[in-house]
Amino acid sequence: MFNKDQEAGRKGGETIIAKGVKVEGDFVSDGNVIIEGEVNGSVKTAGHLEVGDSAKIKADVTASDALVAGQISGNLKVNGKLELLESSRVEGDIEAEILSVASGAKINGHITMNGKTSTEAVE
Amino acid sequence: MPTAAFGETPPKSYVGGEILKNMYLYVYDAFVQDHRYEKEIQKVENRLTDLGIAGKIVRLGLFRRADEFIRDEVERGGATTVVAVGNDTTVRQVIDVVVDTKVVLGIIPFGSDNQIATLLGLPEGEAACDVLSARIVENIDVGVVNGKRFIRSVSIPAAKAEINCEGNYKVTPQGRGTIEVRNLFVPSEGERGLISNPLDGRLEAVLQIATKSGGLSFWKKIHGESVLPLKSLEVRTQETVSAFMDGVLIEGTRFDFSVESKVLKVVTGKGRMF
Repeated sequence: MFNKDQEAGRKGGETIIAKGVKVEGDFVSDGNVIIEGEVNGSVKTAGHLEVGDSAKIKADVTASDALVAGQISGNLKVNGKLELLESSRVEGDIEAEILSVASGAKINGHITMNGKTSTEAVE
Repeated sequence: MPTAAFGETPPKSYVGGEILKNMYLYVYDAFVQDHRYEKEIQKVENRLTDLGIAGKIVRLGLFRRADEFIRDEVERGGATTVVAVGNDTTVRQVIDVVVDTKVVLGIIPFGSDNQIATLLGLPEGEAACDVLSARIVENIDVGVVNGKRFIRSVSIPAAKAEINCEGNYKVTPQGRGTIEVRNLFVPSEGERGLISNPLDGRLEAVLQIATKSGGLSFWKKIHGESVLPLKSLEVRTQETVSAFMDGVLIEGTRFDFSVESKVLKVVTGKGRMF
């Protein structure tokens, strides 16, 4: 999902959960988070969240901004911009300030923007 | 170099308006007392004298424990800076007493295995004397594993393991993987990885796991690297493993990590890598 240039530009303080790793429990971070593995429980970060296309998350997720290419089963709350790429699948309610949905992305749940519910299912 | 403290123009520190003289204690590792280092040691001693920062020397031997002598010299002799003359293993031998007594650590690197000095920007041998004299002191974090301190990292080899992170969540690698817990780490040129900064009050747990990729390249193994910045973690392995703490062997199935924030005062060079 991420190229070498992007990796080279990364600095310390970032959390990366790679493919082949399973996280269980309440995950909390105050920095940027990249998830490409499995997470069960809850995810909360004050920074940017990237969910790779191999990621499987069964958790309520809260982030400042998020870019999603993988699967999330749980409610997704993003304070800023949420970008759902074509391979993304969200089974749960979405709350975001700004929402971008690529063609092919799957959403099953309520979408709330600025406190207003807009739809139940989008595909 | 005589074995008593001396120096014509010792550098001074100003603390609370009071002028304090910096007294240096040099801890020579056993291996630097070998004949092949004789000339280089002589050059170092001459340069230290020229710079006015010569001091008392403690020579380590097979049956001589560094910490007892150093503690005595700091508490009774008034040494304010302990200089490890040797390599990473030498630093490992003095780190506990340096942190406990709150004195400054300096390093004059000799021989091989000097990664700590390299990361701190300290050149080898005689050139390190000038860095020592410039005295740019930084307060850095120190990692602790099972009650033992380390500066750089602890490497746990491939084993089935479980990691408990800050008591909040559990990380399980889906297969055998290496675990490295880093306090100070800078990837070398061409090497992947994030900088582990010893000023951030955290350790980085880095997990490298081989996983099978799908599709046509089903049998090809790819490596995923997970990085978790943490203040504390517990690693449990299913079998006893031999881990390396700053190059020193430790064995076990339980490794409890924590970080002591900014407790180590250390002399750094301009070329420090963090």
